[in-house]
Amino acid sequence: MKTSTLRNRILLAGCALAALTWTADISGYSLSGRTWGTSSVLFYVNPQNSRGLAQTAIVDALKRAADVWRNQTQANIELVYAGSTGGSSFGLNYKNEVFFRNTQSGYAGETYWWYDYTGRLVDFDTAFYDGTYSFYTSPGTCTGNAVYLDDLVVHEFGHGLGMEHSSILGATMYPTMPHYCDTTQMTLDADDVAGIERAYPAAVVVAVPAAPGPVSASVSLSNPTTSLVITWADGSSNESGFRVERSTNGSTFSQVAQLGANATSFTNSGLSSATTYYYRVYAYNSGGNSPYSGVASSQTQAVPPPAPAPAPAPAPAPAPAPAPVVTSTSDAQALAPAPTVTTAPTLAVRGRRSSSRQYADLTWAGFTATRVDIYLNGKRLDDYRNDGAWTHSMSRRSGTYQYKVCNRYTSVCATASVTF
Amino acid sequence: MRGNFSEGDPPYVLLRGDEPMMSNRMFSRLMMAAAFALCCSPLQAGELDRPTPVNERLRDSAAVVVATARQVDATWKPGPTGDQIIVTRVLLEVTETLKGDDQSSRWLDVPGGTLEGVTLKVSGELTVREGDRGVFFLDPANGGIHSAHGKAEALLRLDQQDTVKGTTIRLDDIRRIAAKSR
Repeated sequence: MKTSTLRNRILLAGCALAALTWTADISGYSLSGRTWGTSSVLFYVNPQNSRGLAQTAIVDALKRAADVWRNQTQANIELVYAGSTGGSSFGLNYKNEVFFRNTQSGYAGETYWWYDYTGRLVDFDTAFYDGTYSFYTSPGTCTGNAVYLDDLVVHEFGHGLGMEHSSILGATMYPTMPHYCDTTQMTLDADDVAGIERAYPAAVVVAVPAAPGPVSASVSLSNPTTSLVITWADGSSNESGFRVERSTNGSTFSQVAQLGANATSFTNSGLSSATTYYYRVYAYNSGGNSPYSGVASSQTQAVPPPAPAPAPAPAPAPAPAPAPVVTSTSDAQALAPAPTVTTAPTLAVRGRRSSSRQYADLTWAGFTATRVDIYLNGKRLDDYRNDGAWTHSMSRRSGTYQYKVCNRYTSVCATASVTF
Repeated sequence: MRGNFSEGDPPYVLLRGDEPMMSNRMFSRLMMAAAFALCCSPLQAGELDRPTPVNERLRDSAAVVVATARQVDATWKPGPTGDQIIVTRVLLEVTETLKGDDQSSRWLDVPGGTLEGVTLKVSGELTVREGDRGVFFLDPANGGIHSAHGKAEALLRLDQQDTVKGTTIRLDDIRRIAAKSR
C-alpha cells in the first residue's frame, strides 16, 4: 500500500474516531431520574435581549415551545408561563427563570436544573446566549446564521423537565441542532415522547362506575325487629365495590358497610326495633365514586308485647311475676322504661389523588370519647380529637388501606378501607 | 499499540509499528463514519456545537491528560453575573500527558454537583465521579484550576483495556492523533 494512501486513511481514521465516539451509543433518550412533584410547572421570562427581538414575540415563542411538550405527548406534565421576571442569573431560588445573556458562549442555550434530597426537581433556569447567536421567532424569516428560538426552547425546556440529552440523531433532545434556520425541533421525535412519558406517566383515567340501580329496603324475615335487608342492582361493571350509607332522618347519612364488587345486598343487623332507617348506596373504584342510588327506607318491626303473666294460683301467697329475660340489645331497649338509643360507631373513608400524593379522607360518627385512635392496617397511626374527620396524606401507592378508628383506650371501633 | 491483531479487531488492523491499516470492511465503515463527521454532522446552532473531532479537541485544549479522578468535592461558587451555583472540584491524578506541561496532578472545576442536600445539573455538562478514568481535555487553568473543554466532550472514559467506553476506539489511537497534532 502506498504511503500516501496510508496517510489518507489515517486522516480518515482520525475523523472517524471522533464520529464513532458519538455514534456508538444509540440507546436513545436519557433521563436525569429527577422529576417535578407537580403536573404543572410555572416559568417566568426575562425578555430583555440584545438582538432587538420583540418581547411579546419572545414570550409567545416560549409559550409555543412549552405547548409542544404538553400537546405532543401524553405525559402528565405541563409548563405554564407565569409572567415576567427581572432575574438573569443561575441560582437556586425556586423560581424557574428564562433569560438572555449578551455573552460569548459556545452554546446557544443552557439550562441549569436543581433537585433536592428527595429527588424532586425544585428549580430550573435557562439562558440563551445572544452575544454569540442570533435568534428569530417567525418561521420563514430566518436570514443568515440564526437560530429559531422556538426550536431551542423546546430542547431547553426538556432539560427543565429533567431530561438529559438523547443519542438519537434528529430527536429534539439530541445535543445539537441540524443546522441554522432549522425549524424541525418543534416536532418531537418518538424518542423524546417516550422519554417524557416515562418520566411523567400519563395519569391513568379510570372511569367512575355508574350508579347502582334502584335500592330497596325490607324487614329481615329472620330478625324483623333488629335487621333490615337492603338490595340494589349492580349498575356497573368496573366497580371495586359498593358502600352502603344509613340515616335515621333521611338527610344525614353515614357509612355502615363496604362490600366487594358485584354485591347486590346487605343485611344491616343490630338495629333498634320499630325504627325507620334510610339507605343509599354508591359504587366506587380508583377513579372515584358513582352517584348515589336513590334512597330507600324501611322500618324494623316492633317487639311484640310479652305474653300475659299466667293467672295466679289460688294459693294464699301469689308468686311474683317473672322478671323479663333480656335476650338482645333491642329487647333491652324495648323493655327499658327510658331506652337510650346508642348508635354503633361508623367510619367511612374516601380516597383521592393528586399527581404525586394520595389522600384518605376519614369521616366517622358515633364515638363518645374525646379522642380517638386511628389505625392503618392494624398499626396505630395517630390519636386525634374526636371531631369526626381526619385525612391521611401519603405518597402515591396502589393498594388497599384498611383504617380503624376507636374510642381512645377502648375496643369500641369501626373499620373501613379504601383502594387506590 | 503493537502486537498481533486478528482481522476482526476493530477498528484497525495494525500490521506493524505505528502504521495503522484497515481491512476493507473496516475501511468502509470508517469511511461512512468519517463522512458523518465531516459532512453530515450538525452545524453550530444547538446547545453544543457539532460533535467535535478528537483532533480538534486536542488542538483547542490547553492540556490533554490521561488521568483518574481521585478527589471530588462540591462547593458553592458565585459567578460574575450574579450566579450562585454548585461547582464540583476534581483532583486528577495524571498518568500520562498528551498535551501540555507534565504535571502529576491537575485540578478541574465542573459546574454542577451535590451539596447541602441539593443537586445542580447543567445541560450537556460533564459529570465526574471519583475513580473515573479517561482522557481529559482541559481548558487553560485559572488560578491553577482548569475547566472542562467542551463540556461532556472533555472526557473520553476508558475501560480497563484502555478502550473508550461504548466504542472500539483505543487509547493508542488517541495517542497517535495527539502525536500527529503536535
